[in-house]
Amino acid sequence: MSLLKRWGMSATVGFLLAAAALALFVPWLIRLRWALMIAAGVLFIATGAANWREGASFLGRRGTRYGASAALLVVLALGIVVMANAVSVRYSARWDLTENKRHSLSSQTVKILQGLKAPVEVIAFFRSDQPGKRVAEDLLKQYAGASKGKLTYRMDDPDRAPGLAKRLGVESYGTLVLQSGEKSEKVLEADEERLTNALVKVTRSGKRVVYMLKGHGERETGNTERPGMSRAKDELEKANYELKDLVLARDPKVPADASVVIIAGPRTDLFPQELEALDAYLSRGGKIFFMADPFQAEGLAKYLTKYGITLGNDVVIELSPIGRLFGVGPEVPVINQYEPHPITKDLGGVMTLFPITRSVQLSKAQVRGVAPQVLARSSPQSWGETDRVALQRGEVKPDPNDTPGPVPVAAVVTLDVLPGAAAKGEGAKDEGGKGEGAKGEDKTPSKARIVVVGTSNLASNQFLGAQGNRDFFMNVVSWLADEADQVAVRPRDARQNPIFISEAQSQAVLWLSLLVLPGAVMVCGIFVVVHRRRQK
Amino acid sequence: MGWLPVFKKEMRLYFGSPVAYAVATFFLFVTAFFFVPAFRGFAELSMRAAMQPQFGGNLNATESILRPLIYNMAVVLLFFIPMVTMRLIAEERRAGNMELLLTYPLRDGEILLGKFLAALVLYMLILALTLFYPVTVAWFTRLEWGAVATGYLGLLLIGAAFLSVGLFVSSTTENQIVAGFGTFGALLGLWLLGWFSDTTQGTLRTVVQQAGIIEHMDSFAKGVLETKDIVYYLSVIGFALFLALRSLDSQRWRG
Repeated sequence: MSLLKRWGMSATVGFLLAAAALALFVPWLIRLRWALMIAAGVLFIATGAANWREGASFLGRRGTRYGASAALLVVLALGIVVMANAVSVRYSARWDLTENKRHSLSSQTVKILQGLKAPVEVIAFFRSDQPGKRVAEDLLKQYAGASKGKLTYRMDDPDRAPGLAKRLGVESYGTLVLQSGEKSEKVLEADEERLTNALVKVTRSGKRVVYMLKGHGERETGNTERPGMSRAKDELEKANYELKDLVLARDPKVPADASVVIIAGPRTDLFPQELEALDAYLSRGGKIFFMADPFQAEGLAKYLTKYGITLGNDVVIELSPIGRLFGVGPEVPVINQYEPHPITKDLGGVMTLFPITRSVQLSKAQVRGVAPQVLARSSPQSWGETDRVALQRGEVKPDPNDTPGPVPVAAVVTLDVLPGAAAKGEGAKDEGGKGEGAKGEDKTPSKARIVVVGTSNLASNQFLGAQGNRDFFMNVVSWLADEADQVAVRPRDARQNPIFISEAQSQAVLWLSLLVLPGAVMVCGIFVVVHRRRQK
Repeated sequence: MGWLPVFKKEMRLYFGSPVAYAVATFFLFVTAFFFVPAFRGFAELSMRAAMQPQFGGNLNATESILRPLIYNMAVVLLFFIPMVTMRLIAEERRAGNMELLLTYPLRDGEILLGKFLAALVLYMLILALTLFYPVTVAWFTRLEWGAVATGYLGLLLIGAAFLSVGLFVSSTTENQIVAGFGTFGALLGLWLLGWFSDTTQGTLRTVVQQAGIIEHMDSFAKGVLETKDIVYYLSVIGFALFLALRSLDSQRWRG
């Protein structure tokens, strides 16, 4: 009995602590936790009964009464503090006092956030000790704050939630996944421009329609074998594009809901009326992705000269040994030289493979209203082999009439759209009336865009997964399709104000801060103490 | 104005003894160890960027020197403040002065206020000395004074919060060592609370983040004022002073 009297309370507290610890660290041991809590309850009552006499007199004392009222006051004050903080978290005002407001969101982002209709959840996958985590969370906090509760976020560790990371297709630390309804969008680097653009994409109503030209032996999206394009189809659908077939031979008009038309390695020439349909599509701001394989559909080469592109009559042979690292032969150029462009910007220098590609050169003659640009080149040890017979025999060597390396293998063209033609295009769109989502969003038709690559192999099932090919392919499509609502957020890097000092000045700062300033204070102290002693 | 005599007596104690000077000397010495390498490293980086522009990174003096410095100063405070506050009331009780003090025609609040303000003024003076660092930077390049101002406001608030917690802990014991370690432990606890935010989700995460004492320093250090940070520090100050008041009051009726 005396044992219970003395140790009962401590044991009760011990049991409660143990239960709390269990809840924190081994939450699945629910029964043990309950057992501990019941034991604590029983002990408490038993101890109370054992200490009944003392307890009664304790309760009657003056100190106890004062103590109780003091405790009540403290609880009240704590309540006020908690309330004040809860309110301040909910309605926090914010002032950015840096010069260029670099810690605040741009007005475009704020506008988009305030116009959100459906809730968006962002999951940020960071390792807990990752340096970028704080920056990302800070940014997300601002997004959540400006969105009036529409945007929520949480931080997750891909190592702790591997299942979720896998389901969302997260492959690297620092990936952000935006989800709204059925749709999701990945951001590989947490900065405002990328995040805002992903937000636009994920909340956009309807799907962007990608048309695949059919009828000339193009690569099949339904084909799951090595030469097929089923993987490209899956990737496009994952990124919220809808794929449709386009048979221009049957209906020589590109539908109004087309965001992009992909022409993936036709083997036979396109008919004149098909080319006319493509012209008409481009003249109203269309976007076409040409993949033109070597020695096939030579009519395309003639067609593209109109837009400032010359397709070489050759196959690029690569002697740079780097391809051997990936186990590919000289007929597969490994591209790691990109020209600055939105398509290649996000590639981050990752190499791409262009298997059996022809060269894609810019025409010497300038065409009015057409701005072509080379996107990627092979290495200097490569050349464009024009000798077909030698190619078939497998004996190639650079000749004087071959294009010397580096050989351009991909190019982009932007075309000015005549205002009249654009207006007509709008009219045609309204007639079409099929694409609810794509239509009506881009009211101002932007420039028409063309991307030409010298091979369709890079989009085939065999090569899409190789190196940066998938990213390259997806970047091309998204650049073509999404240009209209890309949001450009001005970079808000802090102002540059470097410090230039001489060695002497540097030394002066060192000694002043480390020795003179603290030393001066210390001397003051010594002086005061000595002075006091003397007074005494 | 009952607090004034207490305030004056405390100030005399601080500046008539080596206490204030010792604290200031060591604080300046320690913070210089954060400032000097940051400053010289930045100067070196500027030089290198001037010679090889392709390596020119983000060369903003406010961001690279002052922001980490202000944050680190808050860290140093965690160790210094308990040493300043541990004697505030514990010493009076040890020396048996507390009964005397309580019988003076002073209200408990005035005693506390006098002591708190004295410690705060000492702290502000030391903080003013550290303005040497931003001034040094501004001597050589343009500084964003707006961001420096928010940083120092943050330092003032977090320092005052630390002081008030120290005052409360000191009022609960007559042992200075216990008061010092108790304060340190309490502050460290509030500090580490923020770390748990990594393992939490949703509302609990928000709660933990708001409760952690250092998390709020971040926005001050980078030049952003947020009402929730200000409210947090003010509520810590208010609550700790209230607890100290309750603690003094309890000494009357506790036998």
